[in-house]
Amino acid sequence: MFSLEIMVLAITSILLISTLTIMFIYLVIKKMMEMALEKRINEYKVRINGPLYQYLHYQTESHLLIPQNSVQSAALERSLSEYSAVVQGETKRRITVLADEIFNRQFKRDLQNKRFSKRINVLYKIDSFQMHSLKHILKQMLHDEKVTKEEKLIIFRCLANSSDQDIHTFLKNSQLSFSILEFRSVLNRMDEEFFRENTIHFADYPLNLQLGLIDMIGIRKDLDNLFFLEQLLTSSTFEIRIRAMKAIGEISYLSDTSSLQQFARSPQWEERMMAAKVIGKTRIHGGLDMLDELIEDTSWLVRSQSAQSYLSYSEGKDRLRQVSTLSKDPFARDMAIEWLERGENHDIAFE
Amino acid sequence: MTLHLSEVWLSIVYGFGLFILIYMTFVVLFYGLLFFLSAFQLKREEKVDDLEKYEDYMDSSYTKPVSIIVPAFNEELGIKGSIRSLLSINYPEYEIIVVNDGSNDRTAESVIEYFHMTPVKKALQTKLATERVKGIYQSSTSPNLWLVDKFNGGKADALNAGLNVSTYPYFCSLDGDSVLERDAFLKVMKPIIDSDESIIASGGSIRVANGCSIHEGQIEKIGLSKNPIVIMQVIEYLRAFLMGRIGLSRYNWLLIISGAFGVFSKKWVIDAGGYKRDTVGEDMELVVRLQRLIKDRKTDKKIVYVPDPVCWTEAPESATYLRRQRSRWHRGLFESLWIHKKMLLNPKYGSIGMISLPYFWLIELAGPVVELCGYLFVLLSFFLGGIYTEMAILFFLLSILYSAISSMGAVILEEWSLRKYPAVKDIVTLFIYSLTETIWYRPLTVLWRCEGLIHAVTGRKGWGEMKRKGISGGLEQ
Repeated sequence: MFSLEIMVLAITSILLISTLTIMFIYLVIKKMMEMALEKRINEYKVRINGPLYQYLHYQTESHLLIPQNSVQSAALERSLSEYSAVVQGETKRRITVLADEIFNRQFKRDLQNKRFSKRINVLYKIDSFQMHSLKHILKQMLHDEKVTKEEKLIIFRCLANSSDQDIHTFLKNSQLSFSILEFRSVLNRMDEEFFRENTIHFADYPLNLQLGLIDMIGIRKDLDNLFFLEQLLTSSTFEIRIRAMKAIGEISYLSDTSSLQQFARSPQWEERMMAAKVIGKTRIHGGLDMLDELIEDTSWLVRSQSAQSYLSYSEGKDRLRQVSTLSKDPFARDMAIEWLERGENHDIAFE
Repeated sequence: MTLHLSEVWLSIVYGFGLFILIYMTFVVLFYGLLFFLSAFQLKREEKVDDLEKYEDYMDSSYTKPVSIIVPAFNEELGIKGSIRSLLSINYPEYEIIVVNDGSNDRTAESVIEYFHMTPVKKALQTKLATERVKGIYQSSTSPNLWLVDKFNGGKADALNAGLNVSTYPYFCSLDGDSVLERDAFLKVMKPIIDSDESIIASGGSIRVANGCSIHEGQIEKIGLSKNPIVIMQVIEYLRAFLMGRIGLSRYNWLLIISGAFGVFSKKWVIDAGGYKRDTVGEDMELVVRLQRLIKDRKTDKKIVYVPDPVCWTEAPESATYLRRQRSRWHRGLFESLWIHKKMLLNPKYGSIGMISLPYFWLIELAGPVVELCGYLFVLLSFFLGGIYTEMAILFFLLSILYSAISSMGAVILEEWSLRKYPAVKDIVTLFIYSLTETIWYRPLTVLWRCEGLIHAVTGRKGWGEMKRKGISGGLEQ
């Protein structure tokens, strides 16, 4: 009764197992070939190591640095990648020059490749070598709807590397929802002067880019933008206010302390915590009095941050010791004791 | 009359056989679908250059600090190596919290001595109730290393105690005797960082460490054990992670993040009530509860699986311990599903209630029972002959199809994507073993899982002991 089903299933099984086995054999052969190729690439890498060093440091040119085949090209590409991760300044600029010269045509071709992984890897390379010569094609790709969001992000990074003015327009009009960190990775690549131009366009940027920009001012400790940050403290958007305050903490300087008072009395614990943090970072006059209030806060995180901030003042430890014995709030006393102990044990370094 | 009765009986057997066959066909088709989903996803990620992808994330201002919680119960042999390996991971800002869950051996003492720890007073942000904590210690050589010494309360209790002590917004649960690859943290955190916190939990892959050479808590060379039981487990892990989870993660249907290696948002876990005590499947139970909370709060938060970061863990080498583990896992699965039975087929929980949970109930939980019935049917068919033999042959063929798709498929996916095994020999061994699964390994695990189900229903408690060799390698120099 089931003989037909048995036949069908038996044939399906045999077919499937054979297909899988063929796939497997193919993968194994591919693996072996790749291992052999890998060996050749590594051998060539060793060969060009000396000439490459000579070129990057003393600009001594060598015919070995002009690849004749794909193995040599891959070896050179990898060696350059390794170098570009560790060098700065003039040497890095020479990598850019060399890459623009040698890889221009190959990368142009690879950018058109159908395989996503191939395209994205090339974009990573263009970014890490800070190549300029492909700018024109990259900008065209930004207009192409078939290009994925991931690729466009790296294109933005490449344009930021080469201080391309058009990037502001692209950023303003970008319909893509990048995260704050993704935007930060773009801003991070801009040089000082180019980075400052961003504040002019701030109002037109999407929110995540605005937030990323505020973060970046803090990370760069850009004192020239302090006034800009202080203006943002009165923004109606909570996220903008809190990030601006955080960035001020990173810069560790505040020209107008009244905003800090406002933060310390905010109904939102995040703002109170940020106030406690910034008091510690800026060591403003009268900060300890504000901390005395904040360490009795209802939120654990605010108390913890306040206790930590005491220790950045030279007389902070004594003041914290007073809190640990005199405060009416048992939670505040506990927190003070913990941080006194931590401070003594390890002399914790403050950022 | 007698004749009539035996006819009824035979038609029952027939119906039973037919049911098993239909069920198996369904399972085979489902796994076929998962294979294609995973293959498609892995193909897209293929060969994207790792180093470049993560370079930007090493800047501490980009990443979010993580508390690593390591619950330890009688882990004297492996714990020091694990901690050493954790202290050398490639991540900008993290703290390690080892929780000694009332061990009977010298776990706490050895950690305190080796890492020069001193007792500290720590104002606890106590949020979850746990067994009493005896003391908290901090290492003077590595200030980001803490030890919580507490009375025994089980793994979930230890994790909760660690959560109470932790100070960072994300935490990772990690088994005491496992080894992380150096970049594993960056990779598992990347989706969380990229998503601006819309991903609240992310889990990596677990692989079998037996057969790899490990020195001072670092994997030096990836290899394959010679023990057949271990080799089969390697294939099982490949299957579970490369096929099951990639497919499920793609549509946010994930219900498991392995307890051995996963990162969670502390806030969400605390809001969900922390780890649940008195269950052996606390890792799965938590993820189901988080999915529930996501749906209850009507947010679009996600839980994801990332294939690449790998945590290497020790697999049992003998049938005795493997049996205990499988039986326990199945009990845990049952408990997690049973606790949240109200979510099953509940449209309020969307695809989790309508697709994920039915999948876990029907295929993962009930699968072994149906398969066991299948084996019994095969035995029975020897006596009944005729059409029943034909049905038995069909069942056998379906089992072969199942293992071909799932096991051989998994080995192929591995070689296609992650390629962790450098030696061609190892990959060939894996492939050949995957052909033999139906004949010996599958029936064994089916039996053990059914045993676990019986234990769950009859209410047996406890973990069963696991014998460890200490895979993290010698520390003596």
